[in-house]
Amino acid sequence: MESLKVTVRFYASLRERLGVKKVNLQLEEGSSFTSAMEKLAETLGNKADVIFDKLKIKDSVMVSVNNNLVKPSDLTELKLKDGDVIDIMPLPSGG
Amino acid sequence: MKVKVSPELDDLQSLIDQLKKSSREIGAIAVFVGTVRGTFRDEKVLRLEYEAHETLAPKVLEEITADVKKKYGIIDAVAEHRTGKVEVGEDVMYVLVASKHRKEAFQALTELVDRIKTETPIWKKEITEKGTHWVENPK
Repeated sequence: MESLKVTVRFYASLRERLGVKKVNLQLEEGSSFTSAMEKLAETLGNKADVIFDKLKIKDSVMVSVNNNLVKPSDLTELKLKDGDVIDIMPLPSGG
Repeated sequence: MKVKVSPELDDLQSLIDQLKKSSREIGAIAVFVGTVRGTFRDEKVLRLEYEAHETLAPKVLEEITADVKKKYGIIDAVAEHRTGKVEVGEDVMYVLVASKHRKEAFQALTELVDRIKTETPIWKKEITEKGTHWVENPK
């Protein structure tokens, strides 16, 4: 079966708590964002709760795909393409 | 309109002067200067460190500034935010709004500052006498 590779990058407090800057995921062709997150949670193991609450992305986290912010409600059905870059970030705290 | 996310801010007086020159319609320029406070609760703050998403932060800053400019019908705006280490007492953010009259300048400035702090992917780490922690958005 064809596969696709996506990169997941982490920022600020999430990166420090996870102890890793990025993770590469190998997924089946046509995979959704949700299935990528299931694979990510599996990869992160016991540190997955930094990002997830029962496999759902926490409200305290925001997501962009290829440098475009995506609303949580639009993430579920989002289909991924080979080479996509997903950024997982804490909510802003600048100023 | 000008936005910048960088280790250094531009000279504030120069930003004001540039805005004044941009239109003869300008009758008010409202300015916000964010500076590093030396205390966090009862702790003495040594410095702050800011991290920004290199691509998204300037992009979101530009979108927010354009949105506020349109909403309040202001003439021009500038939004700059520093990254990296910032010492106590140093400036970290400049937001300037130029308009015909002061009322819309104050309103636009307030909304723009609030939205920069809550929507732009920039994160703040506080280094105090007792330790280091990331400042969390309360949501």
